[in-house]
Amino acid sequence: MSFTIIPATTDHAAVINSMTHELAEFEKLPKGPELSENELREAIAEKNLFGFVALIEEQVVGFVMCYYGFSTWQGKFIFMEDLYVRLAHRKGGIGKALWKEVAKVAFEQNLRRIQWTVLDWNTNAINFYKSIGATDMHDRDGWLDFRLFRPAIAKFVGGNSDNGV
Amino acid sequence: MALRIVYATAEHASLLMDMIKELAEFEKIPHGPTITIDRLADDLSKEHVFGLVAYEGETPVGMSLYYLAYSTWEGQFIHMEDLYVRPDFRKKGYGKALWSEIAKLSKEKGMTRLEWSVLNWNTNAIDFYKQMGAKDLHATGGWLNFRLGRDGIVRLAANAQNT
Repeated sequence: MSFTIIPATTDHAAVINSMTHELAEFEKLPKGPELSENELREAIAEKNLFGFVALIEEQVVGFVMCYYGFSTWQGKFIFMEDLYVRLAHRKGGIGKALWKEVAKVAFEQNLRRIQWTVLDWNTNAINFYKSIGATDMHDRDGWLDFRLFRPAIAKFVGGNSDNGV
Repeated sequence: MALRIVYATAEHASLLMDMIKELAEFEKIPHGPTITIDRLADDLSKEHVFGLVAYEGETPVGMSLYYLAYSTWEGQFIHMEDLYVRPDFRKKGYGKALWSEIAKLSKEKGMTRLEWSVLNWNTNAIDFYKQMGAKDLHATGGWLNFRLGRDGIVRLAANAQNT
């Protein structure tokens, strides 16, 4: 069945939010998503997130959501936060087509990289990434990603004296 | 002499660029930085990147640069891109003070996470991160970080449908 891809708008917030939950289930982290549909809508409206949706006969069957990051080495870049195609519509080239739209945005703005994360057991995805020439940054340079969660942020801030900013 | 931390503006671009290059040398990837001072100044003005500059008196001693990222799970958060203190000014708590400012911003904005990257051989930094309760996302969750460079972008974009 043929599909079309269009930029994601605030009208798509509800369906994207549902699919974010479906993606989290696939990632075996169903409790991950805590964002409401309204918060997502606001993020799209304020351009904190941008992306594309794939449509088959006016039904949204997949999406990609991105934001702009900044590297002090290479400047502005795209971070691809989520990419998902509903199970029934896989193997039809929709995932790759969504990827290509993101690559087109990067190309048009002369950006030097696109970044994203993937779970180490997702070998299908990893093989696709390698086939398009992407690099695992830990393998190449030894980069690790760290995260501090809210309770630890609060604790860290609590223990330090004000230095006048 | 007391530490003073200020928010970076476009005027700090040249100083920040020097420290970005010093940090890249420390990271053993000296050819990493390829952006120009003008581009950094422009991106600071447009808020594509934000920064803090630390001074001891009038002497610049360190910096931190960050951008606002967005998680479809938890909303807006800070990604800390660089944090650096010049070698002669280490062990004075300046690094921790820069960290505190970033953490304070995160807390004030109600953010649920703060993220950054580190090289796996930088055990001093990694120990500090673990002490503050930070988690290595690969070790705890299996997440890998992938990147597509310019050549890959060009190839992939070449066949994008016309919208």
